Amino acid sequence: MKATVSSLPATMTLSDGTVIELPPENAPTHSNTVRKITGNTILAGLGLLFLVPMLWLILASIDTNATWAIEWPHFSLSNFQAVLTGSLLHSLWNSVILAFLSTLIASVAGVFAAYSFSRRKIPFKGALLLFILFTSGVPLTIMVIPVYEIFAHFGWLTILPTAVFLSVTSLPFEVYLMKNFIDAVPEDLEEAARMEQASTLQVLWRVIIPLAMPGIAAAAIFGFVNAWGSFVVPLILISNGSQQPAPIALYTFLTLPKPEFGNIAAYSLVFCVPVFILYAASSRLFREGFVLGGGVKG
Amino acid sequence: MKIASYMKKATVNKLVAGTAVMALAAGSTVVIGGTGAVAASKVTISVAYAADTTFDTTPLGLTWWTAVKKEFEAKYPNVTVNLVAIHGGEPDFLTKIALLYHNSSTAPTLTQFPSTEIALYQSSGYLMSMSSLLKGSSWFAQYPTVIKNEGNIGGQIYAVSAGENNNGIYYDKAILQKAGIKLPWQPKTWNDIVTAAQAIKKAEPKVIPLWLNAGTAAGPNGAGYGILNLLAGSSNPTIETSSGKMVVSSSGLLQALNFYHTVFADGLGAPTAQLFSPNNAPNIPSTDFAKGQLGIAVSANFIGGNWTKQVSFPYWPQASTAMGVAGLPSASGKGYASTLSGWDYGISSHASSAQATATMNFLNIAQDSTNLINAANWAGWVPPVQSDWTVPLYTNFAAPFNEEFGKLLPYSSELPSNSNYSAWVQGIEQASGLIAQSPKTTGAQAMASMKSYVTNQLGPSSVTTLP
Amino acid sequence: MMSTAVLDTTTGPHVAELWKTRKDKERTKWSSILLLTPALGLLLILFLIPMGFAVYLGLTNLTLLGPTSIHWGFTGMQNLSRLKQDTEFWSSLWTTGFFIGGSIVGVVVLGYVLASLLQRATSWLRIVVGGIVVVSWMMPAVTAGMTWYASTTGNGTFATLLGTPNSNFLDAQPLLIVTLANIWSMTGFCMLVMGAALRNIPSEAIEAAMVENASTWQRFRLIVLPLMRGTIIAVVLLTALLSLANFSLIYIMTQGGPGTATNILPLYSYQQAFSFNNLAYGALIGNVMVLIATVFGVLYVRIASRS
Repeated sequence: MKATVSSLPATMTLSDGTVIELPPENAPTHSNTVRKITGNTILAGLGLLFLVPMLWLILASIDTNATWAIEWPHFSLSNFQAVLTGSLLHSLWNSVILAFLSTLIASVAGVFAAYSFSRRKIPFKGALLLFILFTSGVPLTIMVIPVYEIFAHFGWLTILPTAVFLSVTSLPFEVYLMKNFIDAVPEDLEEAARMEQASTLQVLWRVIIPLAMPGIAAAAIFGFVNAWGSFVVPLILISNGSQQPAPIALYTFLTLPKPEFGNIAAYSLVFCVPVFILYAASSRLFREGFVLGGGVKG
Repeated sequence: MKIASYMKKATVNKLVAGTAVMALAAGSTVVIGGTGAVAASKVTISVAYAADTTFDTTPLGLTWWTAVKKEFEAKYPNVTVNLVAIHGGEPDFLTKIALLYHNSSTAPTLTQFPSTEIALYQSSGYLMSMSSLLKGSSWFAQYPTVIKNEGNIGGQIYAVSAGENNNGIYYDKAILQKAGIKLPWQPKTWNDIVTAAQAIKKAEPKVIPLWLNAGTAAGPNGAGYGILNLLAGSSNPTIETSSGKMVVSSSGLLQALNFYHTVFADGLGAPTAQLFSPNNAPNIPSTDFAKGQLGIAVSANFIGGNWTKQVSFPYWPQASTAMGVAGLPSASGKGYASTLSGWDYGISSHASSAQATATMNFLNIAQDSTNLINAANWAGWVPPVQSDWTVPLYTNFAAPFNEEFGKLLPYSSELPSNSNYSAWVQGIEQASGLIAQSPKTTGAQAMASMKSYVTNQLGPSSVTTLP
Repeated sequence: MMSTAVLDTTTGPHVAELWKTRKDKERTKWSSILLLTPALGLLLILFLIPMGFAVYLGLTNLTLLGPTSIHWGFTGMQNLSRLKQDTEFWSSLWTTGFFIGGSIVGVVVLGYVLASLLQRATSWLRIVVGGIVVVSWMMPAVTAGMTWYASTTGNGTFATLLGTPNSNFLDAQPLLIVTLANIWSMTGFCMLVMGAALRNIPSEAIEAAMVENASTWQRFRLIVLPLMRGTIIAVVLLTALLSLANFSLIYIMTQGGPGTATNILPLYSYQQAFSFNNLAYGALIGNVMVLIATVFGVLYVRIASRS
């Protein structure tokens, strides 16, 4: 929330009783302008620094003769045409299914769990929370082998069970994130709902979720990004080539003896688009922050 | 009466004949029915292969496998072939195969895998002995002994070669001419190579004088296309002793590493940006040569195939006249040296006898002259059948490279395949990479770092030093 | 709420009712457990059990291939003593430490600077820069690894822009470069979280400090830092854990090389398990990673509760 002139107190009482007038933060004083310009410049500089690595990606994708080196491109959109067809497009669709399902499962399970941890008395709560935290440090590359054996036994080496496993990989972080934000929702709002005989589900749906939405959205986006970019898990757990998601296709591209860098770059850019759309759509939630005051509880 | 008796006789004859035919028919139906009961029932075999890293391009691989499957299923309609295409780089392919083999229900009936894995799969009990199945295989009988023995463990054949890789020297004729070197060029000693590279550097400073694979980025195969060839031609080429210990210090290793030091310290080698490139550094020489940016390369036979239209990495029709091939001399100057490794077929130990027979029939088709040579051309192999080395389908493909490397194959020696090899090859690749990156590192220093690394990984009882 | 003074609290059927509505001692409701079931169920079956198996694996001699891939068993302390003597492991531990430490510093500092600058920037700049940083976070590791490889290798973006086309930064300082790549790919999330937390700092507090002519640094130290403590600690933990588990980014960029310069624990564990076929030893290294993560978690809980 940007402080506006009208929302600031006009006066303030110091400890010795003197009353003084406060200058508005964004009043056009000299120091304010200088600060703003410096801030903007530094910000722009940082933004450029972050952009530089992406330059190759952008330039190579519109270049017909792309290589690892950065060079002035032979402009063409043929790379994009080439990657938005056939099996590559299908891999993108597989990624959508995988990430969407995984996020759905993780977010729903996460909200329930986070609410329960936040509000309710749970036996061994501290230990359980620690256990959840601890599972997020487990290296996936080792975990995947026992899971592979289990899934192979049941014939689950396909995209749906893999989505379930992926949801588990982002569940711990999501629970922690959501719990933090749910902690910040004041209890009296819930009390009021309960007084009106609201069930737990109704409380969740009408009070908690809307108010903790930035945190829930952040956690869900985290889960989506996690599943969207997941590489090792689908590599091992999906044995059917036609069900493999985009990162595998991309990696396969890279390891070919004759890599088409232009296609690789174009495909990577296309691959980033859905996630960017997600961010843009939800950025409103982040901008508004949450209006309840109080910091994030540790 | 006579006519009647004649007719009777004829009738009787006919009857007899008819009965005989019927009996035969019935008998053979019984016979056919017997095997027919088996032959008529469906057999399914699964064939696993690396979709992206065996053949030069993924589409070529798909074409070849689909064609063989089609040919086979037309001839044996009661057998269904499930092609299991495994995508990803070679390390991922190997991991997937290991996982598939782990479970008897998912083990592929027939697998195509690198020769360096044979002993590992066999000692895990994954492979069936093919010795009896191979009896009467005309193609296997024509393998040179060294290739036949690739899959020989304890007297039984557990794997048969689909194609081989050997190594030699490629050189750009124009660049060598400019450097004042007489053509055709055939270096007699390692020093000849260094001198030529130095001359190239003087005459054409912008060109990479000599390509030597270095570092770990190319995976375990990189060394086989690089320093291991020098080791094979050194004074002591032993990698593994007869007791199974890996050699971590020897005069041969020192010679090979010293050569690397001489080359890189003089600035004659390729930049690490290319050598350590994460995608298939061993294939980069074909691009460099086509751009006229490379003088000499020690590399594998598949480079020649890269310049054909089918592979196009890149398409360079002038390659046949612009490039020359020479054998890599041994350090002593006597003869040539090269490593030998390839891709092999193995049958799962869990295959039923019907499946094993069907698989053998499949192999007979996959290994017939046309299919075998097509595979060799499209995967960058030398065909394992010696007579194929002079067949036009092979020699005309990547002329003159295919023919030249076929000629060089008898000089190559097989790479080991045991469980300690992967750590050992990582060690030597790291040593070569160390020199490429810090050329001041001497051969002795690199060897010492390799010794400590491999000893650390395998334990002191699995390593040994030789004079 | 019932007043206990009015009713007889010692006898009668309504005693049971009263006990149910006691507010002084909270009771575990069945619905709480029910709420936890999906999450805990998933974690138990798909995490705890495989993880337990992985822990056990670390003390066996299972290999991916070879005789001990079929006939394997418990080997007790053997792998542990190998670990103790494994120089590669200790060097990997150090490399991982540098990677994590560097990433934490970079992510937290950059994230905070960006978040606070973003708050006061002009709106179009905020959208553009915010968008760029978030995109860098959202880029999947495979892509991020590729772009950083292209940017830092010989003839890459940085080399060309700095006018020294042949400089190969990646091979010259591999650990530093991959750490920078990691920071680049994680700052976005930190920026978002810190931005949300910054908005919660009451403006009155800032104003009060400005009136008393507090410098930017003092404002930061005395007001922002304490109020953001929880967020900062959470971000530090998250960065540490994610960096500890980082695999794809470094795998694409250097495969753990050149040599063993960037062979952090996840890569070394993968190398042992899949390149050298030592599944059990690789699992043990993985277990070490889990231990380290636990230490981080415990530290987090300790520090966070010290308010």
